[in-house]
Parts: sequence; structure tokens; C-alpha cells
Amino acid sequence: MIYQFCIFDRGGMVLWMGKFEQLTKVSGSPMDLLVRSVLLEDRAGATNFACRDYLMEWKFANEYGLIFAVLYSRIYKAHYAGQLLENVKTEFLSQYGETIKGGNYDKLDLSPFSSTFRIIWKRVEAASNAKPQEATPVEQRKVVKPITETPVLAKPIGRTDQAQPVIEKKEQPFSFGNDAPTAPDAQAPRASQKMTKDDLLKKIMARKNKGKSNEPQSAAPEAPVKREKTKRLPSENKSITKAAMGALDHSTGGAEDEEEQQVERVRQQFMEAPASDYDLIPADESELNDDTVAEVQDDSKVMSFFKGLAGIKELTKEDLAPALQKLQDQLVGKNVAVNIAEQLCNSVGASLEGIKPGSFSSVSRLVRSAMTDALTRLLTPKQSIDILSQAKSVKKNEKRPFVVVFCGVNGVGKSTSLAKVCFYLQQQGLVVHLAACDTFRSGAVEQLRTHARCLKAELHEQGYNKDAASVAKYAITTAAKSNADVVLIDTAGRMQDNEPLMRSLAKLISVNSPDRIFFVGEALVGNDAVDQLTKFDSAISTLAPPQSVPRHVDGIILTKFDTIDDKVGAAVSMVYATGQPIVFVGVGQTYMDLRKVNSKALVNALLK
Amino acid sequence: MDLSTSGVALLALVAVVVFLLIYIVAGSGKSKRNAILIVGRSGTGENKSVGKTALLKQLKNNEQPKYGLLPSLVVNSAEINVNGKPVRVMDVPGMVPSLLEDLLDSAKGIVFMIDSSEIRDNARRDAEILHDVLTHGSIMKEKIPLLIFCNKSDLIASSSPDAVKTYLERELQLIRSSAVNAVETAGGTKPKQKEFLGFEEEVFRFEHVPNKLTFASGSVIKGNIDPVQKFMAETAA
Repeated sequence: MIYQFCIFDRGGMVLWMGKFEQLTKVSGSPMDLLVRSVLLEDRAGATNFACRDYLMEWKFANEYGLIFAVLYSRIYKAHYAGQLLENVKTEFLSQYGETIKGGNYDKLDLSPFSSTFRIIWKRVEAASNAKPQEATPVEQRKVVKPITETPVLAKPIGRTDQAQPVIEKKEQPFSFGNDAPTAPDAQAPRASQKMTKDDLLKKIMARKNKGKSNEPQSAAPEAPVKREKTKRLPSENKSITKAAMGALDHSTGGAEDEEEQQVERVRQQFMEAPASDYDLIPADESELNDDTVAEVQDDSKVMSFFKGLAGIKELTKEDLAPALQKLQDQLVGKNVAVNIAEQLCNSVGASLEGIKPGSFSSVSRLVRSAMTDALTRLLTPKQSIDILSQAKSVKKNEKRPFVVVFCGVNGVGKSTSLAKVCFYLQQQGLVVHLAACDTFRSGAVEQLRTHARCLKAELHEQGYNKDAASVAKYAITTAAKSNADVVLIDTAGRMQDNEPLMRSLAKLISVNSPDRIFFVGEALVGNDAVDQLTKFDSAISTLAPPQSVPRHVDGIILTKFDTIDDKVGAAVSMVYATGQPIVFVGVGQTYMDLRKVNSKALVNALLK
Repeated sequence: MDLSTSGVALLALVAVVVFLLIYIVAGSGKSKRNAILIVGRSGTGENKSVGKTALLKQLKNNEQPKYGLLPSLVVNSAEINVNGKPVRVMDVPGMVPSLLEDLLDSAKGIVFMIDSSEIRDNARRDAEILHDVLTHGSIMKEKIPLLIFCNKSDLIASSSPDAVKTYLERELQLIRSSAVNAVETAGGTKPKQKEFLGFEEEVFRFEHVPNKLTFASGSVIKGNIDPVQKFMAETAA
């Protein structure tokens, strides 16, 4: 069930398009979406692309600069799609290849190709119906879904490993006489449930006694008894006096003067000028990059004459494989997530297959320059990351504060980044309010209160164990009444697999409709970056209450950038996983340590 | 002895001359302004494309491709005959902002495309790109002329060039001050300080920009692109 078949070039011109069935349930053109989401985002190495009820596959003819794409139904799969693409490509190139190579094919009349296409289609369809349906190998079956459709829950939440054998037991086929495979599994959960604490301790003691037979047996039963009875106290056998309790309670302020001094001290600590100017790449090295760019330009002008003379054979997958593998290893060595590096290399390989390299540019140099282009394209923001003008515009046109939510896993630097962004916006003359919606972690509200005092910004908080969504709502309405320009909302850190917490985040977002949702991630994270981002993104869009506009992560804040030298791959992983740009980079602990991404320097660091 | 040293000297001289020639030939292309760029925002899923590639195809062939267009992945380049002289016109894809920065140095004139039927929703994005173009390198210093072409004037909902001008001025007023106050970039050399558009004390107007700016409307699919051809004739001369 093929809906569309399209032959187009990299400049956007469609050479030939065949429409066979009426498309329903898709707004806009799916081919458009294919180009935007896949080819542009360098996911061209994937085998196919799913868009609602449709699947798309494509093939490149890089030597001619053409792309062949087919759109078919996901339900009534066209198993012959790949073969169809291959046959059509061969036929089309044999008929029109020369004209296309010539360059001027705008006026080429390709309507006679429709009949050729139908013949090829019927032939391929018949051939695939004739041979028995073989099980497609696993790798072909792998469907690359757009990131938003990945299911949120990869593993069951909140269940321990003990429960899993029970589930497996249910799924095994029911068999009468054959107890051998099921028996061990059946026994295991029952056994673990029956084992009591005493049995467990006896087992441990037995193992211990095996090694040291001299150990007095009397010591063993004493130890567990003691463990049960002693309770954890900071100081044993001392009762806590009221005075001591009062000293421990930091939530209410002490004397005013003392507080001010303390705030002043903290402010000095946060606002001190950085000891040395932060430099990811030393200045002279970035100039080195400019030289190599000029080199390539010279290459193309002077050497193109010589290149044209040499008739080197086209590049195949095998030719590209070693260079791509080396590049992939280098990227992984720079902390890019493993499957992201793989996909990027596949995409670069797909775009180089079939190209004639010419005698004066080696395969590795070609691959490297293609990867540089791909990475620069990836890391240059496609939409504006200037929240300053966006905030001003919202305040001016809609007369309400600009709301930003900071979310992320535990310990990445949300509160610190929030304070830095607050400082930056305040320096530009905006009135910023903070909302302490981290009502879970002890000390979160105090931390934000300290920041608010240092920055002289207003803090909206309602203490702990309150519903974060309602705290946020109250904060926004109060801030709107006092004509604030921006409200920054701090949320609790949460693991991406924790469904109840992801649900509460989705609720906070849908109730308050923030203007921006920033995911805060640390640059030290490795392969988990992709998992974090995709699960956060899909949770926010799918776990929101029904009848709400689905939201997505709008920007990424990359923190702890000063700790990673040149292993900057996390930036690539995160941008690739969501398609959203990196809005800010955190390079230290003080308020001034906020930067923007320098895509050229990043790409240099990755491919050095 | 004498012969060999003079031979070596002659060889060195020849080598120097050859290298000089190569340098001149290669270097001459580096900073020469010899092309007219068609720039503009890219259409996203909800918003339609502005028509940059469509304009190029119209200029080149006087007709639109039969099967339509898809978003461009690479630069489309063509030599258009203007009053007998061939002029190089390049259509820069809106989705790849890195390409635009590299090409702006070779621009002799810039055609900025706008979808006049959707200017209200997209004024911000259009203004951001226009701001990046105007404040790039030496565009303002060398007073490169710009034509702001309001496409899709055949649609009922299209705005007039004056309305487009007002929308853009309003957005640029906000954008220009935040661009110079933007956060620094992490690592590498510090980028050049961006130019400030217009005058600080006054509300932004396009008259404050030193470049020659023309606002015109037309419709590519109806073949109404006279303002573009006029602009090309003026710039190529």
C-alpha cells in the first residue's frame, strides 16, 4: 500500500512525484517532515522514519545529488519498499543520469517516467508476493520512531527484582508434563518470599564460618540481636535538648544583623570575578581552524582542475567504513553517547556513498569535513536562543510575566543555573521573581532564599511537602499582580524513570503553561544523556492530563562545563536527542559563569 | 659554482612567482563580493515556507517546478541574465543558519524574502534573521543594499510592505538591545562585538540603517517579481 513516491534533489526541487492513494490524518506534507526531521538532522543513517500511520524509506544517489523516498502505510506494510527503491533508482539513473549530471535539469519533462514507474512497481510487487514471506532480519525490523513517540516507561517502576521472576513465570507457555524449564523459575520466587530474616542471617553466618572456623559461635547470634535494637542517633545516649533543636533549625532566621552579614558573605562568594578567564580552547588554536578552512577552499579552486582529470572509482560502504569507525571511536572518546555517534557516522556515510573522491583528497579527509559540516549544522541553533528579547516581547505584547521552568535529574545544577539566569536578566533591567517549587529536597527552599537575598529578587515559596503545581500557579499570579517581567520556576530533581514524579512535572507544566521549559543537564553525563532527555521530553508531552496542548523541552542548559576539558560530547548527544538548541552553558559556581555555545569551538574540540 | 647558484636562484624565483600566482588566484575568490543572496526564514511544520527556492526557479526558468518544492538542504546557485550580464544568484536554505554566515561575506546584494500573509505570527523570527544579516561583519559598513521582498501578495490575508515594515521595526527594537547584551560564548576567541542597529536614544526605524533598503511586494507563483529584477539590475551595474 504505497501512498507516495518522490524523487528530489538536495536543493529542494522535486523531479518526479507519484501520488497513488489519498493521504488522510496527516497535516502538511510527510515528505516535508522527512526532510526536516531526518535528513536535516543527520539521522539519514536510520533505515526508516515513522510518522503517525505512515512509514518512509529512502535511498541516496549521492553522485547525482538525488534522494529517492517512498511513503507507505504502517499497517499494510509494503515489504518490497527497499527493493522498489533500488530498482527505481537504477532505472531512473540509467535513463536520466547523464542529463542530471549535466546540471541543468529544471526543464526536464519527467511525466513519461510515471508509466515506467508503474511497470517497475508491478514487477517488484509480484516478485515479493511470489516468494514466501521470510522473517525479516532483526536489524531491518528496527523502526526509528521520532523521539516523541518513544514510550516513557522502559522498565516497570517501583518494583524490585524479586517481582520480575513472577511475571516471567506467567508468560511461559502452559505445558502439562514438562516441568523442567518452569520448575527453577517457579521455585525461585516462592523461595525468596519464604526466606525470613533468620534464614538469611544463618546463611551469611554459615558462609562466614566456612572461612574462619575459629570464630566463636556465640558472637554470631549476638550481632543480629544488637543490630535490631540499636537505633541511629547522632550522639548516643544523649537526649536532645530544646536549645540544641533550636540551633539545628535553620529555617527561621536568626538575628537580623547576623543574617545580613551572612548574606553579604555569600554574595561575595557568588559574585566574585572568576580567577581566570574561562577558555575551552586556547585562542591560537581556534585560529588554526581558520587556516584549515582556507586550505580546503584553496584545494577546491586550484586542485579542482586536477581532480577532474582523475577518474577514481566511487566510494562504497567498505571504503568509508574504516574512516567512519575511526571517527566514531574518536567521538565516543570525547563523551558522545555511543548510539548517537553511530547514527551520526551512518548519516555521514550515507551522504558520501557513491561520491568520487578525486585524487587529491583522501577518504578520511572527506569524511572528516562531512562530519564537521554535520556537527556545525547540528550545534548551530535553528531558532533564536535569545530569551532576553523574547521575555521583553511577551511582557510588552501580552502584559504578563515570562515563565520559565527548570527541570532535570538530581544534582545537575538547576538551582544554580536558575540563579545565574536570574542575575543575567536582572543585569539587563528585567524584574525577576523566583518560585521554589522544589518542595521535596530538604534545604531547597533555603538555598533559593539565599540566592534571592543575594540577588535582591522576590521569592515565592510555600515551604515543603506542598503540591508543586499549585505553588507555581500562586507564584505566577502574585508575580503578575506585582508586574514582574520574568518568573523562574525551580523544580525538584527527578529520575527519568520515576513515573509519578514525571507525571507531577507534566501536571505542573500543563497547569501553568510556561513559556519555556529548560532541561538542565550536566556535561559530565555520558550515554545517559539521551535517555534522560528522551524520557523527559516524552513524559512532558504524553503524561500531561488530556485536553492539554502537548509541550516539549524547549531548550537545554548544559552545566559543569568547566570540569570536562575538551570532552564536550554531551552537548552533541543532547542536541541530537531532542533537536533543541543549547541555550546556556554553565562554567562555574558564581553568577557570572554563564555562557553561550560557541559551535565552532565545540566542533573543533570534538574533532581535534 | 657560479652557474649552479644562479640556477638555484632562478629556480627559486620561478617557484616564488608560481606560488604568488596560485595565491592570487586562490585568494581572489576569498573576499570578493560577487553574488546576490536570497535569504529568509525556513518554513517549519505549521508555517509555510517563504519561497526562496521558488524565487530562484522563477528567475531561472520563468516557471515553477511541476511537482513542487521541498525544503532545501544545500545552497541553490544560478547565473541569471540581467541586461545581458550574467549575475550569480544564490538561494540559501533557511534551515541551515551556519551556511548563511559563511556566504554573507560574498554578497553584493541581499534579497530578504518574507511571507506577507503570515507576518503577524512570524515577525519575530523574520526580524531575528534580518538582524543577524544586518549586523554581520561588514554588511553595514560596506552598505550592502537589501531588498525586502514581501512574497505572496496574491493572497487575501497579505499585508502591505508598509505594514511589514512596521512589524519588523517593532521586533527589531527589542532584538537589537538584547543582541549586544547577550551572554558571551564559552571558549574560543571572543566573537566580535555586534553592531548596534540604528541609534540608541531613538526608537528603531529602518531609515537609521546606513544600507539602502527597499521594501516591495510581489508574488512568485503569479510570476510577479519585477521588484527583484529591478533590484538585480541596479545592484549588478
